Amino acid sequence: MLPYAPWLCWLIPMIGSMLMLLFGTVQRTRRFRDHLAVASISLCTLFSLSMIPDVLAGNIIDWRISWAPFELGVLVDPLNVIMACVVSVIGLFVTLFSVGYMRGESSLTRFWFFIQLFIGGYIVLVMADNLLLMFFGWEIVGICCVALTTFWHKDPNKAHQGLKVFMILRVGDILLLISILLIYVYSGTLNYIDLQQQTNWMLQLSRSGFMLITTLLLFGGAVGKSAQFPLQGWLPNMLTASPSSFSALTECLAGPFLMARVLPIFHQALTLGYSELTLFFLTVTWMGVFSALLGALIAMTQRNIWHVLAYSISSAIGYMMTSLGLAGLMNDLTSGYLAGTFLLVVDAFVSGLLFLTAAFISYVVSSDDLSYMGGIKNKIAHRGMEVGVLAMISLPPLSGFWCTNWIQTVALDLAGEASRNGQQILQFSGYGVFVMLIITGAFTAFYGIRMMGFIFGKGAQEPEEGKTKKIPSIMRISFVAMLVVTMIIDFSVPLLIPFFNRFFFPLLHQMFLKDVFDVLIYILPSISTILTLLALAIGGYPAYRIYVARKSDPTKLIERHRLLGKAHTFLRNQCYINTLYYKIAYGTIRFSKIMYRYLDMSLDVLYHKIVYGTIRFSKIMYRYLDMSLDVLYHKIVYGTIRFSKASYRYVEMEGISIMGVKGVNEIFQDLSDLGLSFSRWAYARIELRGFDSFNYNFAAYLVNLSKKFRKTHTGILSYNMSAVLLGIVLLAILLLHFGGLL
Amino acid sequence: MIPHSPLFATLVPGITGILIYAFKRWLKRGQGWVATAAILASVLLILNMAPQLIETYQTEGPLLFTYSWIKPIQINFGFLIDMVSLPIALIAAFVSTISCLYSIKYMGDMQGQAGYYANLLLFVTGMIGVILSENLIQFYLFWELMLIPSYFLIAFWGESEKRLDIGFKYFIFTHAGALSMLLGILALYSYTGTFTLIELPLKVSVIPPAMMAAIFISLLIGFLVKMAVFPFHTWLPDAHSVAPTPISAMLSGVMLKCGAYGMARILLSTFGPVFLGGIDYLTILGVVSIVYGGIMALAQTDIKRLLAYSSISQIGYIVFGLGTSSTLGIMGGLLHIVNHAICKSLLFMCVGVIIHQTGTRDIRKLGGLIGKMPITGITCLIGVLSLVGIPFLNSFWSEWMIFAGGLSSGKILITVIGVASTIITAGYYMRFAWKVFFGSTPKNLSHVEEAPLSLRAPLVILAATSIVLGILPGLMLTFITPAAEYLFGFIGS
Repeated sequence: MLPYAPWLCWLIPMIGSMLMLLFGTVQRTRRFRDHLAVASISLCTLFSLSMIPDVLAGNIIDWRISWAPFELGVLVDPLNVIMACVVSVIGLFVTLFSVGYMRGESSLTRFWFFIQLFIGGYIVLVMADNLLLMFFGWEIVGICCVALTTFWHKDPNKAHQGLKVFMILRVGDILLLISILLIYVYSGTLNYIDLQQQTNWMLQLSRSGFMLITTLLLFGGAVGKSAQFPLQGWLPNMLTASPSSFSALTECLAGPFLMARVLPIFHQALTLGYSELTLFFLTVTWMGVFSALLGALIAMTQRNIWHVLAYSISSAIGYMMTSLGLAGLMNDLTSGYLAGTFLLVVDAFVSGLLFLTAAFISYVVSSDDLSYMGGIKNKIAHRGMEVGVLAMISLPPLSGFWCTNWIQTVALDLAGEASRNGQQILQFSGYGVFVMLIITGAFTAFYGIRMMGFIFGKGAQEPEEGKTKKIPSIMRISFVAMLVVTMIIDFSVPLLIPFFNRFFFPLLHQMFLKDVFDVLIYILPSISTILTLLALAIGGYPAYRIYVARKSDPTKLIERHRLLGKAHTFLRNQCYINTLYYKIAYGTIRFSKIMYRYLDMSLDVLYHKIVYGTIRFSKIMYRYLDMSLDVLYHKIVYGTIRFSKASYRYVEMEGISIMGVKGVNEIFQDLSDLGLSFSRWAYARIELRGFDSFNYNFAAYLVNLSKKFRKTHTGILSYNMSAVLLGIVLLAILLLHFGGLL
Repeated sequence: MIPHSPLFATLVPGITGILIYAFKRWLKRGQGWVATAAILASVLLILNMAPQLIETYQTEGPLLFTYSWIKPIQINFGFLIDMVSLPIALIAAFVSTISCLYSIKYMGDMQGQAGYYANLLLFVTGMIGVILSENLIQFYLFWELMLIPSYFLIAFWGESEKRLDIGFKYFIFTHAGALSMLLGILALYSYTGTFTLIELPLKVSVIPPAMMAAIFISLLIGFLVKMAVFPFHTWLPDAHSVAPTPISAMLSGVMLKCGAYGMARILLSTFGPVFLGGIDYLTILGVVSIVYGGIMALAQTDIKRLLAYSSISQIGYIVFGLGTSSTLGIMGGLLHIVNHAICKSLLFMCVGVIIHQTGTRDIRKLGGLIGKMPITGITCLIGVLSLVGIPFLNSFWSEWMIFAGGLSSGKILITVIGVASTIITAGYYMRFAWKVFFGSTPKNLSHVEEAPLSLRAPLVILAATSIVLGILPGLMLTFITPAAEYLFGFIGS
């Protein structure tokens, strides 16, 4: 492992995308944008690939760092590393291909920014050691996908597709988020390893009755991302609207990856006895089967090559989900798990090749319509188509044959195991899945050959003159490189499977298929092989007759059989799922308008009514209560005044003459007269005769006394001295008296 | 730390506002810059308290600043700086600074500049005062101080003929709520004899339980009206769509959050047991607000009205988070106060730029603007994606915590409904963004150009803040985690 490889493998593209903004804005460096992108993705690929030896050596490294307030980490284990390698290798091919494909486009800065962020986010998704970081990558990938869908944002149709893709992806994301939150709340951790080792949370989750809901919500998230029924509608839109060169790196594979990531945890829970998870795994299996069948059916009728491919990958992912679901139902998950993840890895290349081929052809003919693609005389495009389609329709000895057979064998194994254990539902499921997959195989053969027939069958329509473009050499080289890699993988499947098993040994601790002979013995000698080949013939022959040999006209066939015609219309319109989405969306908007008009407005009116009611009430109150109160007060005041006036007049001044009563004033008058006359009387009698005359008499007496005294002031000493003596004697007597001597 | 920091942080904007009005002849075009500088000073003053708070919070608890005020009844004029109030005050001042900066160009042609800035600054003082108040009477005074200038701003500088009516409606609603709150505050005082926020939780045990619930409800109604939670929301779409854009950004971004702050600060700390009993009602109320606001936003064609309804929906998240009464939920609620302030003011300003440049606010007449005005478009998309809950943008963290809080308090069903209803949030925001920015440009908008730098700069600052807080949620959680633990302590015990 190169130093810090688990971190740098996703940090490099992210830093690259940031640098791209810098490079794009500076005029001088703008022409190096492509080089920078290729360099950063190459480095990222190198770092991803460098982790393989560590995994082969059997190490599982959980590298955690604290990132307040959470913990982040990357996990180097077989599943993560193989996905990181797949993503980065295909990402590298896509990048190289895009250099040619996008040449001459404006807004290349934006394109490279999102492509690198997309690859970086994808590797975050697959390298994360916990659900939270995984969710970050998940969202980055989703946002980049939407941004690339609306790459030509001036086209209203493509812009609208972006909105649609965002909304449908959002549904899945929210389901996933609820599930992650539930797991977090019950376990307190989101780390995969901790979740597997601490089983206490399962007990609590199961006790509270939310185990099944949590797991199903998680599956719902995966369904949204991987374009499974009923959330598959976004993928065709995205593929038609976005720059086609990037489509080869489809984000859909994140869905089965997530399921593969959490499968061991839930399988362990099931073996611990939380039996409600059987229902979860059954749901996964049957939803997978149904999506596989539905995808194949819809792909049979589409005219746009991207729609065909969208439903084909949806169908392929259905196979992966089925396999993973079956793995969960079995006692030993090894076989199913390996089958699912192996198909995941191989199909990434096969579908990637198909997407690149489609991008290549549509680049040449400037059209997405299958009927315009006929007559293209490009050898490498033909080889790409052949390798991709033949692998897809499970023609032996290409990869599809091995993978579908493997999964069908697992289904039969499950049925066998269930019948031994006496579990009827599981037994039925095993056989049911097996039959459905065989039928799906027939449809797959039909649409695969149909697509090939359109592109280079006999009598295909000629492209319009001057519409073919010259192909840049970098595009050709990268395409051939992808073709070669896919071919090698495609043809060496039986050899790869034991290697794959050894690679996954650190995770599964079991060598299920030790070498090539094990593989051959396990997969080939079974009824599945015969039925697969039969289905291939049954599905392939009509397609060959109609589209390659052109012996019968499909339109006439449809006209002749009304039921077929109806089925065709139904499937051609993608089962009206899109219509359903629009119904929901427009229904919500209409509902909101109605609510706005009736509820919100009426609430507003209610408040207005309250306010105006209050005002009216206050006016009425003012008029009747306040005014009358006012009148009352007036009355009181004037009454008081009148009363006081009357009382002044009749009581105070005059008295009430009729009754012969005297008024207060008159009484006072009389009283004061009385007082006056008394005072006059008293003045004469008491003042003048009494006090005054007494004063006069007293004064006269004093004068007389002083006159008599004056006679003693004669200057005769004896008189004076005798008077002094008399005074002293009197004083002495007084003193003696008060002194107590007398 | 500068002494008396909170006092200055609160009063500097208001006093500067009065001075601007007094010296308007000398300042002329410089009014806006002076006003921005005043609020920026307030931001810095709040920020300079942070290091000391972080250092001493564990050992000594909150920072208290008291000045004696009404001595005979022992009411102080004080400021309480702790982990709850500081980040919210900081974000309030920050968003106000950006709004004020944005006003310089946006309101440049308006009459009565000095009056506008004076009111704006008084409004800011009111908001910071509410958040930093140490006692309830001061809280109430600033609460009303917040109301009056904002009423003038709507009624005089509004963007519609109906602004006087709408201003009146706003005033009446908010004032009625405030009175209900005052009733609660006085009732609390009559039982406990204190207004102080620190002492109240210790003294509430004397209140009889029935009375406790009554006080709780009367306070709650005050806050809910301010937050415009369904069904008390009808003033908001009118007021926020009519107010001049920078003021809409402040109303939606910050003023609503004063209600949420009150709910966290007063109700959680003082009424723990009652709060715990009301979990069901509050979470349901939150979810109803989320769904209802979202559905209403979906029906709008006026872009400002759409954002106004989305505020109701977003406030629902906060009510839900606080209502769950779990540490995670409270943390998420507090964090969403901060995050929504950033994102919603960003969106209002983007919409303001669009209205400014195109002259229309009808969503049906707009389209394809990202090619014409890339900076506005990208910043607006960042705001939208953040509120939709995309990781590595700030609001993801708060929404995540809010719903995790809901689950951890055992309200699984209502939380699942809440999370599911975020699809409505995604629906109306995406529909808005797509209609305005993508697709073909109508012919009459072909001449539209990117906004001038003075309008673009605020957008870029806010969008950058959103990304930074998205990548480093720890920056805000340094404050908010202890704050949530502190508040949860009152419920748990």
